Amino acid sequence: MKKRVLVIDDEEMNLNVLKLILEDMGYDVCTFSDPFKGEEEALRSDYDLVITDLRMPGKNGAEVTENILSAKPHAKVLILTAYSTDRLAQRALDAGALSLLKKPFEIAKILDFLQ
Amino acid sequence: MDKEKDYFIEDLIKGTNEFLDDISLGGIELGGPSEAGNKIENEIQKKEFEELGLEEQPASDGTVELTVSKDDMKITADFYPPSGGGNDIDKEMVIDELEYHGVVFGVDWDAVNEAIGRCNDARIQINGVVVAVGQQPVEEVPEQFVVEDRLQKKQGGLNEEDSRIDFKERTTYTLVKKGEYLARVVPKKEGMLGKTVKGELIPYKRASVVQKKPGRNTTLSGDKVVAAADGRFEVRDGHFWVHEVFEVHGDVDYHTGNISFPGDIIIHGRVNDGFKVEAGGSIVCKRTLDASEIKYKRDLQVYRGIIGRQKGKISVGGTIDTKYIENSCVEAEDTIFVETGILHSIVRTRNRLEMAKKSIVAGGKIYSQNGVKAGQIGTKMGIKTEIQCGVDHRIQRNLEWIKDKNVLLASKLSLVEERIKADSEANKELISTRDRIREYIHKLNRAAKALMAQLDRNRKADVVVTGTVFPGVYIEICRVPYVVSHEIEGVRFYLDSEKSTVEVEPLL
Repeated sequence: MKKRVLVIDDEEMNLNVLKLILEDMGYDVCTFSDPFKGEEEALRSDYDLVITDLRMPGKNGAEVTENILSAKPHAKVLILTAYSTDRLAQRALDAGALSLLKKPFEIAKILDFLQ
Repeated sequence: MDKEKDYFIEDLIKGTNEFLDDISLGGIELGGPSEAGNKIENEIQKKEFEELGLEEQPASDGTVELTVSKDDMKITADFYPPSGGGNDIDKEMVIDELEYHGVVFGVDWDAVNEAIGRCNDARIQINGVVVAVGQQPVEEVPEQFVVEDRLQKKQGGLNEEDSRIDFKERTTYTLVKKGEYLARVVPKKEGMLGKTVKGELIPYKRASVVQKKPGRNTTLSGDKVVAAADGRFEVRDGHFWVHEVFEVHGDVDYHTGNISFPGDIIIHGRVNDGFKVEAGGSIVCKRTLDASEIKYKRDLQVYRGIIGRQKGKISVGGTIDTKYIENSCVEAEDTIFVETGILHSIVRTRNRLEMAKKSIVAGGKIYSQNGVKAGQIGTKMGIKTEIQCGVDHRIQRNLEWIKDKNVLLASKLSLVEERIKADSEANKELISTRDRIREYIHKLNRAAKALMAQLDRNRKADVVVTGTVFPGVYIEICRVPYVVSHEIEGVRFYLDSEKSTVEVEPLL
């Protein structure tokens, strides 16, 4: 059975690229550009990996991470960010995010948590 | 009772001392203080026995007992004196014992006679006298070239025990002049058979010698090897030779043009902005390297610093040793040593970045496979500084390249797909382009997966900061992140593989 990946990012282009590449690698990818809907989906269904952008309108990735992990402590969450020293990145890591992915993405880190 | 005992001992000591005084005052020649001491001891012993009321032992002759070592290379003897009027030990007794043990070689008759005399005269037991010794074989040593000690010194400065670096002591090169004495020929030394005390011959071995043969730019002169050219002396892989050195006595600029040389280069001036220097060997630059494009197969030593103005690119196959690196892109296969600071630069090493105690890394990115040691990382202003360790930066760069190409291909693919969607009768060419892009993305992804296996190189890589590390610094060890959120002093960052977290511990 294919492993399932959920990607939440307000940049459509980034979502499309990640979807295309991860699907090519054999994963089942679901994407959301709206952080509220993405979080809702993450809470409703089980995913092998959740990748969320950090800076999004309305809700940031640190909040999304906190909400997902408080409901599902064993979920694997990776953070997409342009700046690794962003204060929100630290907040997401403190909440239990596994790692930071530099935008647009870092394939090595994604594969780390899927293989 | 105890008082009586104490009195007895005091009396004994007093009596002994008086006896000793009598001997020295009387000038009696006793053949040495130890013999005098023995006589005294014997008298004390006799007195003690008398006081204890014990009778003297019955008469017995003196005897000799020999002990042969396991390897038949040494005979030791214990001499027991006669008692109660028994016969003294004589030489014949010893000869009989030696014959009995089959000893035919290496007997020290002086030691035997001396022990017999002392034992008989002083009536004392003498143990462990070496009376015969075999002869050890002597190794055969083949003819060899012995390199001068002064040329064999390793690069100084790095103290292995405490990992401190004395930058003033560090030297990378040993330069020699034409005709300078490099090594001497030591002729073959014949081996010699050994012999046990029982007369058995022991074969000799051939000494194992690490041969160093003279190579390029060396010549044999009598029993000496001398340099045939000015240059840099090197000993490696069983050979020693001299690299010819190209010296630039001023700056690398419009007077010299770009330089490409197969050996080592010494630049006494600076390498000016925009000039290219390529060396098949190593480079010493006695001033600064300014925004230059430089490729060396071996080491680079810059007495002052490397100033890149965000244009320079330096790629070295060995080590880099410099005072500072500023706005540069620097890459080395081996360790990078920096004395004062790295500012706004991209530094990559497949070994370690070693910096002096009061050094600073501020701004930029450091990719160091086996870790970093620095004085200070980041600044109070929160300047963004990224340190990545544990991974092979070349593999990481290949993965980056794959990612960039994938992003590019993915955006082209979405354009092509939009056009196909809009035009229900899309031509075969568009469909074929779409399929080819998909195929290529798949190919790149396969390559990325294969590279992943080689990415992690050293999970024990660490980041040691002897001074302060400031917020704004991001550390990653084997892709596990650590965001520095407050000032920390004197710490080591390391990877806890079980928890998959970067941990911080204070320096001892």
